[in-house]
Amino acid sequence: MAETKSMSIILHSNDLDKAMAAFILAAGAAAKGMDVTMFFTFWGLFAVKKGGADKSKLSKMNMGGLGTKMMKGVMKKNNVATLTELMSDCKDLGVRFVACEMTMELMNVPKELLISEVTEVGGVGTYLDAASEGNVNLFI
Amino acid sequence: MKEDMRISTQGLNCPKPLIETRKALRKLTKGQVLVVEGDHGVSKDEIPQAAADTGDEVLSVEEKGSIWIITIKKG
Repeated sequence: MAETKSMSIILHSNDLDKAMAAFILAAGAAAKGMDVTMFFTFWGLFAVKKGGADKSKLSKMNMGGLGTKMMKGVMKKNNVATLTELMSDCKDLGVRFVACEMTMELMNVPKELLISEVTEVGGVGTYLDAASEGNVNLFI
Repeated sequence: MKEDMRISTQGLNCPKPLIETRKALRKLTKGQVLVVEGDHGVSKDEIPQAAADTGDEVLSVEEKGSIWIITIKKG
């Protein structure tokens, strides 16, 4: 087996389409044996707030929620995993979930309001430590 | 051949077949054999690639119409 590769993702958005991309990539990378760190900052923190995954909306063509509803319907029809399911898969495969401490303060979101998958709170140093080891580093 | 676990990913879309395969492999010990069935086209190639990444050995990839069956020995 080759040396373990690693990936970091900053999730800055809680748009459904962007969060989907982030969690799909994280779960996929972990399934390929990579060490994965996800860092949730600004609007991305809301993706890991309890109930937040259900409130995510499409970044385009939301049409007052109708577009998001339609997209979720199409995703279900095509057996695409939901955000919640992907988050759980990420956790099962050992993805590190790190919440941005500064955002938690700014947005007044204490750790109790975050999903249990988030086990770490950190700052720029935490992210950079992961990213400087990373073979793939993404900002979404 | 002895098979220790079998999972079906039929109907599942990207990247679930890959994820479910990895989750299953994590439950096995070295040398045990996992059989994965599915019908998601890209996963037929991606699962063997991922197995190579994690040091697991693909024993066979069979196709029966739109269904593929991948047999992996945990490394």
